[in-house]
Amino acid sequence: MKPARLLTIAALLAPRARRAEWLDEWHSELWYVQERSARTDWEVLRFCLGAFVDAWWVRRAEPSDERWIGSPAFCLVVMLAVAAAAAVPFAKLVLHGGASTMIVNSRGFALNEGLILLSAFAVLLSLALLGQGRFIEESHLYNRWARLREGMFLAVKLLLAWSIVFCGTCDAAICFGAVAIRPHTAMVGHVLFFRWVMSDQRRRCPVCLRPLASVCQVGEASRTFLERYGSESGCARGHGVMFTPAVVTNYTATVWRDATIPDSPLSR
Amino acid sequence: MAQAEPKLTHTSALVLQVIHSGVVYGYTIMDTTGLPSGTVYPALRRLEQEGLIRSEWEKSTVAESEQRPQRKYYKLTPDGRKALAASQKRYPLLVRLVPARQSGV
Repeated sequence: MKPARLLTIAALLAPRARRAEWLDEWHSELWYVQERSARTDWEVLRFCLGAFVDAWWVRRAEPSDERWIGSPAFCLVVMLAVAAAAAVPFAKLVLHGGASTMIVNSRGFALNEGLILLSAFAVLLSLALLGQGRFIEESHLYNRWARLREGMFLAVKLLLAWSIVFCGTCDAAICFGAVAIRPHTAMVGHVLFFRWVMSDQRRRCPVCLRPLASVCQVGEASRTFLERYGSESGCARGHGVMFTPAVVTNYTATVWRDATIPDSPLSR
Repeated sequence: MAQAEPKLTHTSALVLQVIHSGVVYGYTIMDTTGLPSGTVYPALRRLEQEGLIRSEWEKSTVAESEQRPQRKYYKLTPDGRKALAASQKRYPLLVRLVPARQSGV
């Protein structure tokens, strides 16, 4: 593929408003790479692949204030659509008796499901993944209403994740005739999906529940021993900054701070 | 309250140092530092977003007269100069890595 075409494809990742200027800059730089240096095709290709990283960075750094795609409602709608897509075949199977090989009696089935869920939570607990969403807050915006909203959002996501895994694994088990291994696949599915739910929650602003942007590294391990070392990301709407330590110790913690606190990077 | 000195990563400090040395557009920054494009350009955007550098397209007439595409030049802002001074204290080898003022290629 021609390098210029690769840049055009990478440009699709950049936000529409900045795409033309972004592409102009990369085309200009490509000219210098090709004309002013004896670079091999592989080096030119490597240069063009960097455009994807840059375009993605520009996309992530763009304030997501007006973007429907970053909203909590969009996340729930997508999950709901996936859950519906998994539930419809399952409902059809139940109505036509196709699920009878799996559901011998409803009480036993419910008990099995409970045990699968408990096992999945035990795995998540042992891997310390359930605590992922926790942070210390120094914010007046993160009030009782914000906590309630955040908790409800998490609960709905967990419920949808459970229904996607439950219906999806039932569909797959019946379609592929692998009913015996369904509990195992369901448990793995629950662990992976719940892990995603927790990490997605962490990547969102606790106040407006939109994805945090402008992730940047703070400090360097070898030079900032006992100082701030980790990553920081901010809410595009200015609700605050989340500092996540790179190494979790008893004196470091994930902290959510108001953007208006004087020491906060967003208030500088 | 006194403002804390901005702490930059070594890569960001290196890019600032190169811009300070007079190498002022993307390709030459990449060429001088030896860093890949996927590191240099996001670093430039981040530094610009933080107000440490500013970019400016050169006049099209200049580019046309030299029969080449327009360049996007990068310059240090006053905040960028302060951040660079702090980084030079933090990374003393930085000045040696990009010592003399070079002219744009």
